[in-house]
Formats: sequence, C-alpha cells, structure tokens
Amino acid sequence: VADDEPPESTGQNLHEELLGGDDSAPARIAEAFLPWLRRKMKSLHHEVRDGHLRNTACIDALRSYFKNPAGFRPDQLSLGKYLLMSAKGDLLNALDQRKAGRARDEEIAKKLVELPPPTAEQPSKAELLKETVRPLLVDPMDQRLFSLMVEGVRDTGAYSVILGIHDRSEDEQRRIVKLRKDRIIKKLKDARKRGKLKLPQLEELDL
Amino acid sequence: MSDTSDDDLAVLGLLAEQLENDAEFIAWALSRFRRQEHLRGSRALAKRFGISPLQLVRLALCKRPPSNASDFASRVQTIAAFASIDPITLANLLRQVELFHDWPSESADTATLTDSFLAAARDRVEDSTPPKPESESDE
Repeated sequence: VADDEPPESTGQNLHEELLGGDDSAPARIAEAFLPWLRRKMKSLHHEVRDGHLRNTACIDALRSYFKNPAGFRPDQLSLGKYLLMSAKGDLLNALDQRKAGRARDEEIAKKLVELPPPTAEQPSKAELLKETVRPLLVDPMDQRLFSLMVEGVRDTGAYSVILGIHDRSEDEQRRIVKLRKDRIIKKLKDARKRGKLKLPQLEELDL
Repeated sequence: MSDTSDDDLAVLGLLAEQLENDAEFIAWALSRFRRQEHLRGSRALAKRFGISPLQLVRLALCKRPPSNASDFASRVQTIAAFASIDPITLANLLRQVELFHDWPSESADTATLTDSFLAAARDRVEDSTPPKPESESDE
C-alpha cells in the first residue's frame, strides 16, 4: 500500500483544489501523500532509528505546505517530491539540533567531572560542589549519581550498580544511565537559570 | 482509503493533533468540542458521532468553514459527505465551538449542558441546512 509515489496528476489536481478553497482537499492530500511519504522517508533514512523523528518531519512537511500552498510550484516538480524534499530538510534540521544538544550536554558532563583534584590547602572543589548541589537534588539516587559524576567516574557499570540495573543488557544500562545523567544536568541547568546555583566553580562549569 | 493501515491512521492522527492549534482546520473545533463536552480522547469523540476513527481523522483534516460564511451550509454538507458524518451534527458542533471558544471554561461547560441551547442550535441549523444532496440540482 502506498509504496509508489501518487501520480503527478493526482498531486496537481489536489493542489488546485486546495488553492480553490475545497475544504476537504487537505484531508485528501494527507491521505494520498502522508503514508507514502512516511514509507519513503523510512527507506531513505533507515539509519535514523527514531521513527518519531521521521514521522514528525513528514507531518511538518504537510503542515508547512497547508500553511503556504503557493510555495509549491507544480511546474517545477511533483507534489510528492516537493513534500519529500521538505520532510528531508525538516529531518536534517531536527538531527542537527539533537546533535548540538547532545554535544553541549556531553561538554557540560565532561566539565563536571574534570574538576581539579583536592589540595591540602583548599577544600575539594568537587566536595564543595556536591555540598552545594545536594539540596537541589531531592532524590537520594540522583545525589549518589551526581557524586559519581563529580568524581569523574565514566564507567557505566558503576552507575548501573547504584541504580540496580547491572543485570540488564549493556545497551539498556547505557540508555538508562544516560537518561538519569541528562535529567540531573537538566535540573542543574534549570536551577542555575532560576539563580539557585551561584558557586564560582559552577561559573567555570558553564552550566 | 479502506486499506489504510493502523500505522497510516496513527500518523494521520498525529497530523490532525498538530492541527488542533490551527483554527483553519476542523481539528481545532473537534479538540475544543471534546473539552467542552468532557470527552476523553478521540475514540470517545468518534463514538459520540457514531463514526469510525478514520472518519474522524478525515473530518479533522478538513478546513473549517466559519459559521458566518454565506456558504456555510453547503460547505458543511460537502465536508459531511466526505467524512460520512451527519451534516446537522457537524453544523451544530462547529457553531457550538465558535460560540463558546472565547468563554471562560466554566461558563462554557455550564452552557454546554443547557438543553435549551442545544435545541436552539438544532433549530438554527435545520433552518439553514440545504436539502439532502440527491435533491440538489446545481452544487
């Protein structure tokens, strides 16, 4: 079903009906093109494992077209190819945004665990940081995980033991640990935004 | 569209959901009607109108004719025929949503339950809805 692109004439007729004010045209366009677009994007971007991201790109392509149907020029390409091009652009943008977000989170996490070691003269910055941050992390589990992060522990296994998930598959452990770490980082970023986190050391962390 | 798979229906449903914030679409009216009538989810809405989830999605993806449009009745008839829904029910829904969408929710809820309002709305629609398509000559 819907593996082949709908005929060019179908797209052209429906496009004209949409421009002509036919109220059911968007529904008929969506029915004709969205299932095909979803399958096409899946086959072209099978490396994107997040199906939700692909579906969102397809949906956004349709929405953009409904918002501005005049942006589509039927004399230049078919409606299917136009929507596909738009969905591809949306997907690439979403992937770029996700990548940038991950890079930033990783950078923050890296900075958190790269604090200088304690010296005899001054208290450990890590200890100070833990003391300051602890009240912001209500969940004792988050507090323990944060301690590991601050101490520079990178091994997923250590976090898994604390979380009691060490008997699960490695992939699942990594996924859960990352989720918990991301959540902690987000809480700290939110706290910083609200002005609840003001230690000079945290300035250096660029949270 | 009878061969629409569950996955296709789901993704069409997602598009309809996205359009709930766009007053140009019937999805917008359906979402407000659902809230006014305290209906949980689209299945409850479909059941209320006696239509299938697919028919509901088709309806949601149509453009919404404003109730003050001079051709409101004929547009409602066309959409209703497309989505296989009763035109009077659709016209009532569109009018009710427009009437209450700026009201504070409590007032709207109370008013929605008023039988006299619903009766009045039905009367107005019956007055303005043209005859059934088979008796139409030039539309």
